[in-house]
Amino acid sequence: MKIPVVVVDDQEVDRYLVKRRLQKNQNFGDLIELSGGEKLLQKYFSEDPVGADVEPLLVLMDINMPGMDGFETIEEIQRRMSEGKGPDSIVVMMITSSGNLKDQERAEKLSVVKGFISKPLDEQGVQYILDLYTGYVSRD
Amino acid sequence: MLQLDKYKLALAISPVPMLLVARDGEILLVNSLLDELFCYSPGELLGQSVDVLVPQSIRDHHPALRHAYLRMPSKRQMGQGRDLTGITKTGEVIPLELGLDSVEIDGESFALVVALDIRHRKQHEGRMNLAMDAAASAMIMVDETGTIIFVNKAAVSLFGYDEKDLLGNPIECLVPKDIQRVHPVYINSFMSSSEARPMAKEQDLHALHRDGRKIPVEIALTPLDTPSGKMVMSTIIDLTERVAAERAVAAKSDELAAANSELTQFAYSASHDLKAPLSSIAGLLSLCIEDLDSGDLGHLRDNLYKCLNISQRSAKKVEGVLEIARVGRNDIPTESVVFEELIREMWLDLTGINKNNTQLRLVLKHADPIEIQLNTLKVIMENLLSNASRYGDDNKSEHYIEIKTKSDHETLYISVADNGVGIPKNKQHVVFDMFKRIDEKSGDGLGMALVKKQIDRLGGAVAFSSEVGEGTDFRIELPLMKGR
Repeated sequence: MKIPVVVVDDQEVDRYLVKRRLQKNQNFGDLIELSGGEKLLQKYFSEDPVGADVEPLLVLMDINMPGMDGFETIEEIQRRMSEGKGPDSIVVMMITSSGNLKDQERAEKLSVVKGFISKPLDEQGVQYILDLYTGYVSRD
Repeated sequence: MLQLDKYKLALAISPVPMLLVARDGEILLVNSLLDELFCYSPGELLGQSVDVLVPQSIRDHHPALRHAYLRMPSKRQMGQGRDLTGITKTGEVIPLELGLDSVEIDGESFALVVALDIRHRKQHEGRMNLAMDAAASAMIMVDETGTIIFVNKAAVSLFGYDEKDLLGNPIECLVPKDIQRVHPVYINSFMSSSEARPMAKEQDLHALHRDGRKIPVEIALTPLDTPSGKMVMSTIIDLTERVAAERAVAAKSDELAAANSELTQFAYSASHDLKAPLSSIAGLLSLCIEDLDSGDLGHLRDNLYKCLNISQRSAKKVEGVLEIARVGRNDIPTESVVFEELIREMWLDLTGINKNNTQLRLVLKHADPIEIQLNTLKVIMENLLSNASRYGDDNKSEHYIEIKTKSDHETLYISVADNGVGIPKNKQHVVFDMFKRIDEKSGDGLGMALVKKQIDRLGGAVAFSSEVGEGTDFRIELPLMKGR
């Protein structure tokens, strides 16, 4: 079974980079591109969640975005999940070019965030995502 | 005359100048010290009226004063602080302190007079006053009752009064209204403890200027025992300049703190927003190498173009950042600008690029031409117009931008209103922040930061109100320069 992936990033080129990188790895399935946090919430965390995958959904989340930023989006996801909305299980990883330690610390405090990955995503990054993901999924 | 001889002897051995005067003013006895003081030869004054020793200015009413004294005789102490004067044979007026005593000799009243030469004391006082006038700090001396006895020149100029308006008046005329009533109590307590000390230690102290203004001061109190009784000398230091300097330093320090936090914010934003495109380019280039190796020239070409595109945009962005950083660095001359022409031109340039059906309405009520930095005004208006035209609301049948102006002698008021999508409440506080993009239609997040900085530099103001679904209204005030 391949891993379902959503990449949330306002920059088209950055979504493209993630897509190309993940396509080179057999373990990832189709990738859904979303340009902002609002779209993710609408698609996966509304009253009627769309698509209930067997595998937990992998969300690669940019931090710095106009509209809702990555953190705001994740906080809203946690709120909605506590109300029982959205998929049963997701694995969120932040993917950012921010070298700011504060961003990393803030990400560590969010329970649904399982990883913090630097842009640009390269082969090692993809492997790291895969290891983290399988680690969490097998633990569940 | 035996009794009179006794007095003669007493006068002769007295260490101070003395004379005995009869009821009618006739001088009966003088000692040699008095003769010397008034420059008469021995015996010359005997038989003369005492009025010859009195200066011309008061000689006329002196007999009346004498009679009054003999009718109601009383011992008059020395050192009651009265400035009296006598006149010598040579016509010199000398300051005297007089002691008077009424004595009975053979059933008749006589006045026994002690005359002390206080020229030295007066000279000394004069020198003291000169010295105090030369002092930079204001000095005021009050007596036990708080009456002003002396003020130096610095005090006169500090408080804005004439010397004569202060002398003899209660010190409370220089005390702020709110403590005027309790001040005499403070004087009393100081008089009883009488140790030199600063006034109102560790409190902000103010003195009252003639025009009602409160002057921040520091006051040192020194008790003085003078021949005229207990006095207090207060030395008053005007803190106006020090307080102003402290305020200026505090303001400067706030300014620096703000500049520093702006710089930190800038460094943070720049590190992210200028680094992001570079990491995109790095990602693309690593794909390019792989595409080249695998012979996927289509993707290679596409991605190289993307790299080119991003680097060009980034170069522009760096220019934008530089432009913001340069704001306020150089003094730009003002020009006479006809506002409507400027806006029409700008609008043509703008709509030439973005094909839109936005309506531009002008309601211009200011006085043309305006004297302003042309390029600065361009930057401000271009950014506002470009934002307003970009955020049209597709749910509305028509989109308009309305520019309203008015002006007075000093200020140009511009309002740029649109009926576009509006700015969400939770994003309104970041509108002027660098690199903050409100949504996907936003540019690189530099435009409004630049607008704000330029308006601040000109000493103007900018504010806006916005309602989602209703539109946005930016209001600007720009100070106008006087025409050259």
